[in-house]
Amino acid sequence: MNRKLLWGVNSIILVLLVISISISYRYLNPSETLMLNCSSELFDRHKGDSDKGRHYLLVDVIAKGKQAQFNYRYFNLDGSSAGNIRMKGSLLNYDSDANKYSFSVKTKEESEVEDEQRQPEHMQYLSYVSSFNLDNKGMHNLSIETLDLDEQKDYAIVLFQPSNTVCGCRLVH
Amino acid sequence: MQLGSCQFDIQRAQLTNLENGDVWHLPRAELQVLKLLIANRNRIVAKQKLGAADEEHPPLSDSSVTRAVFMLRSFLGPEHEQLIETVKSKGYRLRGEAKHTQWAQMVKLKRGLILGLMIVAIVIAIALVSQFSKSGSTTEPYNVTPLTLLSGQQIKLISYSKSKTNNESLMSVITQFSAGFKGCYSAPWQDIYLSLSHDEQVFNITMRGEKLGQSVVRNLKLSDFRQQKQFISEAWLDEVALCE
Repeated sequence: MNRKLLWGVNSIILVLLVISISISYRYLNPSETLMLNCSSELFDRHKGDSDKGRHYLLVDVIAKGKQAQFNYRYFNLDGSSAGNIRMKGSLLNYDSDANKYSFSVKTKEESEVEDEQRQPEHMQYLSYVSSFNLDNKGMHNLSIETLDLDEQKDYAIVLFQPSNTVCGCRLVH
Repeated sequence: MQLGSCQFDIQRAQLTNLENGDVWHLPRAELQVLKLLIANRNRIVAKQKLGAADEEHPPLSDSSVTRAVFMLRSFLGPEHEQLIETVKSKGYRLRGEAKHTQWAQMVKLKRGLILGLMIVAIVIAIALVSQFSKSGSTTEPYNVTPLTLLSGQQIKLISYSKSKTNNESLMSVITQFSAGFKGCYSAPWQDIYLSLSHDEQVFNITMRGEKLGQSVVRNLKLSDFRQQKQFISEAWLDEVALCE
């Protein structure tokens, strides 16, 4: 194999490596900003159709650079706090084609429970699922995919996985 | 006999560059100079000695010796030309030890190794590129059902599921939910997104539409941990007033 051919092959390999390293770096160090505010009406159906089973939920999703934070704030109908869950983690990947953000949650803080009976079922559910993953795997992976987006009107319909939850959110700038 | 990256075949009087395969049949001057330098390896050999006459040939001039050394160095290449050292006012010295190694085999091995490394590097690079540039496709709805209100207004019920099978529960809840629009003349909603959580514990409803030119979104999340679930009831439909 002559020297010119060797250099040619080496150059091709070098170019391929540079491309793959730059792509790897981009994907391993995603830097996207996502700020969502989602408000929901919660209904605990086993409590029947009474007001006892009704709560409000405000979810704030903040992803900036590699950092990500999820605040779940639960309220009673009178506006008093019914609990909160704060999760922190990192942005693992952003797929621009699918408009999908993948996160890894590493830590979780929950407000102390005074009366579990009064705690919204949605909060119990979220607490259980996230603790299950954090205790067993040391992380709780989730993704947010945009199903419908209108930046003019500042809203997005998103799909949370793996919970398979659709939610309408306000885009925060 | 090895000289840098070249192999010297004394019998055939030729130098072979093992890296690029070039073969040079040495002229008389180059052959004589190289033979003498090899015979006196690591020792200084005077120009006169290098150009001395033998039984068959007349002596070489100093300039012929100089040219022969230049030609030999050129063939050895820039990496190995220093093997033939000029010792000022004294002559030339061939540096290093003679290596009667299995150079050709080593070069073959080296070539194989380089080729192998190249293939591995290309495979890794292609794998990395394909791995990281692979984009996930967007999630398609499981079902889209149009709903016509009394005014003729159409609303789309768009449901999402993790699986394409066993969605009886989801479709059953959607049927119960759509009953809430039966008496509606019109509603501010255009699209209604529906999903049942993976463990069927939470039914999610997101209604999107417009009211007075403003975008409106309403999220309803119904939790039911019971074995026999009843997400939707008539009383609940009245309570949430879906038409408003």
